[in-house]
Amino acid sequence: MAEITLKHIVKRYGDGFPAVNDVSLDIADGEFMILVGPSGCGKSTLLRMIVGLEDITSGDLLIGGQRVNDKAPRDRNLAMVFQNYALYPHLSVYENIAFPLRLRKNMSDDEIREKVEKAAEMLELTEHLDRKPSNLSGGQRQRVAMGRAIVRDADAFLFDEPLSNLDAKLRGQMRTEILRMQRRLGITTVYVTHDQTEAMTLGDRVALLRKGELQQVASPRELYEQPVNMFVAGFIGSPPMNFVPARMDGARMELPFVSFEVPDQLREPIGDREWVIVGIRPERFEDVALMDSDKLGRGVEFEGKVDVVEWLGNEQYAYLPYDMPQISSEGMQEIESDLGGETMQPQLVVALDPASRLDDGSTAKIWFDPTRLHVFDVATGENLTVAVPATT
Amino acid sequence: MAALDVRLRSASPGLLTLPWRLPLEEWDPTAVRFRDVPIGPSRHLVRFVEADGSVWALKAMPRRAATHEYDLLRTLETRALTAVRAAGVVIQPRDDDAVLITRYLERSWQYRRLLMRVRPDATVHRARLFDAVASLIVDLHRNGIFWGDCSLANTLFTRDGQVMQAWLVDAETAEAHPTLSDGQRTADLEIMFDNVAGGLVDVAARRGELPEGFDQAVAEAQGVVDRYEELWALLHSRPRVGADPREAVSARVRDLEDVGFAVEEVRLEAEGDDDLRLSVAVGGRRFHALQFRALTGLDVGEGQARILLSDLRTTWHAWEQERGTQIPEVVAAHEWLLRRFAPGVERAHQAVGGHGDPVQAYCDLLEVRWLLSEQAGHDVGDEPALAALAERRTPGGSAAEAAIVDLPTQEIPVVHPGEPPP
Repeated sequence: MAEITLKHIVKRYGDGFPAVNDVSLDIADGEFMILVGPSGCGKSTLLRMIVGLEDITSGDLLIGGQRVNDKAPRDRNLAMVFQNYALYPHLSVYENIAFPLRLRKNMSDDEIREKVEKAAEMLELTEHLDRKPSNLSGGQRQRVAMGRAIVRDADAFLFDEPLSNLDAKLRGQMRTEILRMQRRLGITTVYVTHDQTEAMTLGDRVALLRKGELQQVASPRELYEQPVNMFVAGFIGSPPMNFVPARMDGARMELPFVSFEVPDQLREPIGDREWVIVGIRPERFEDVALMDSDKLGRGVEFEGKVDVVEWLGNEQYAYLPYDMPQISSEGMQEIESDLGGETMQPQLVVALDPASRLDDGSTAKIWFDPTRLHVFDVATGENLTVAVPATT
Repeated sequence: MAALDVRLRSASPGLLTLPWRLPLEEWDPTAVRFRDVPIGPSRHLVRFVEADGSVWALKAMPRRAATHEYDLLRTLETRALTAVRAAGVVIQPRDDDAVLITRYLERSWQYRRLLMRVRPDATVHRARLFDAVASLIVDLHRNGIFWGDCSLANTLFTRDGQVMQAWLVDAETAEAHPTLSDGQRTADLEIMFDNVAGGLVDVAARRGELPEGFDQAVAEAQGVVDRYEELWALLHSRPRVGADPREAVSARVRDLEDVGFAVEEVRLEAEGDDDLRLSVAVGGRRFHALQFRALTGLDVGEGQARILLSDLRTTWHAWEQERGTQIPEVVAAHEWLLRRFAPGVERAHQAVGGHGDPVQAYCDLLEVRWLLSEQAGHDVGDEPALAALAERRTPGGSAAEAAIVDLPTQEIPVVHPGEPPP
């Protein structure tokens, strides 16, 4: 087991463009670290530098306290899990798992048996050890592939989008398997994904990258509740956070569909800005018809026309269009483009309790708590309220 | 639900009318002509269908993976690398479903077919197989392709003169880069070593040759790595040459052309006061094939072209001597095509029962004739060689002996209505 430390890591290709730019990250011994971000953000490049597939342009990479920049991949004792999926149909499950150990010929049969049986027990494959791979389910075959990585006694596991090639059912199953395995082994793990569900459900911490730069490293909960900027806030969460331009008028905040007195704790962060972007998670809204009057008085109520309602059984989403004021900055345009061009939509997405009876075309009375708003700087996208505890 | 999106590289009506709205596993064998082609274990559902007189491989995958593999296979094609050809990709309406379509590689076979049909001590045939794998991965790496899952099971083979040609079949894990770092190449070789050893051990298990066969498998897998390193060094080394570099340059160019590389640039760079370093830039690996095409208009494999060019030139010089006059090469080539190649191809292909590639059958004829003549101490002519081919009595170790792989176990069977698809 080992901690992995990245110090000011830079990767430049021939054109001089930094694919990874000054990334510093401490991955603790036994930690499950997720690298996530949109396509081209540098997450896979970063993983490949850790494993030794890409040269590091500058900065230091330490594994277990040792600088390994110039070490060949095989000398770093890291295991790329699922890289070596091939199962051999005429070998038993036992021999399939034992294969990498036999290949390296530095272990006795007894040692091999001990390792294979331990791995099989962990992966619940013990009763299948004498079977051939053709008699296993898809999930069990994937577990055999994991077994191969486990018996190697690597210092850390690395995963590069391991589930992206699996069908949806197997993907969910393997996500749980990976988490279970990592918890049981307590092995340092670095996992690259573009899928925020994987990022949020698997990681102890999540490192979110954008254009080769680290945006925020935090627990999934912190990332969700205290995003440091609009990019993080827009990337994490599905449906994504609503971003609404807001004009400040003294102590009042004017949203396109309602205005209200700014809560005390937001005044100082907002300062003398005339315009800000307000961020509201869809689940922070409530249908007034289902609320008690006590709570109603502690928030802001507004009316809106419901365009469409999507009912999903356990929840539902209502879409409420509004007139978007013209407000723009270079920084915001970049964020908009990095998030797929759908950040600033002239409609609110409102997650409602399944008991809510709002229909397409109806007029809805919606409520939110203004103390739970995020407020972002128009020019930089920085979250001005991140220091404010989300629960207050 | 996504909209159906069918992207085909040719307007094949048979492919267009397949039931793309349904998941591949639900296709009705009474409505689709499935073909039963044996394949190794795959994490995805793979089925073969016949449409418009061709056989196509269909692989059910998540959309992102299917699109990636489609794009990657097209990149490999653009870079003239030996890989199966992407024929299309279909984004299906349901869930995350997609289907990658590739053209079935005619006259190709899996490594298991050769290894199960020749004895384990027939090392010359196994060596040709390993040469082909090493050459393929060198070609990929030279072109900036990281495979990520090089294995015998992910490769198909064809015969090509006296050598074998390896074709990349599965590009799911592959990545295209401008160039590869040493780390990427090393990692790819490590994966290849593990996978090749595993594939060979698996065949040994099937033949009941374990545990004895284990060490041979590991040694052979290491042999593929060694072949790779040797070829890589031949292409990339920068030897020091003396004041008169002519001999060194000729030798280097000859060595490269021998293994099929066309030299595009020779460079001598001064290093220090007196030292010169020699480096060469090579193009595609079709040196002989391009020459042969220029002379005859025929497109054959590089290995076949070497043999055919040799036959053409031997015949040409013999005719010049017979006639006591010089014959332009292009004229000789035309005459050779009509008088020697075309009838020879027909007779050789007939002799092997019409199996396999007709041009390859002619290459086998030439090789067997040469070997029998060597044994006899004089030219034995075509007839004994044709008889040897017909009776499968080709000299031991000859490339023609590997024609055994061209004999299909059976024709690719049609899956009849009512039978479950393979």
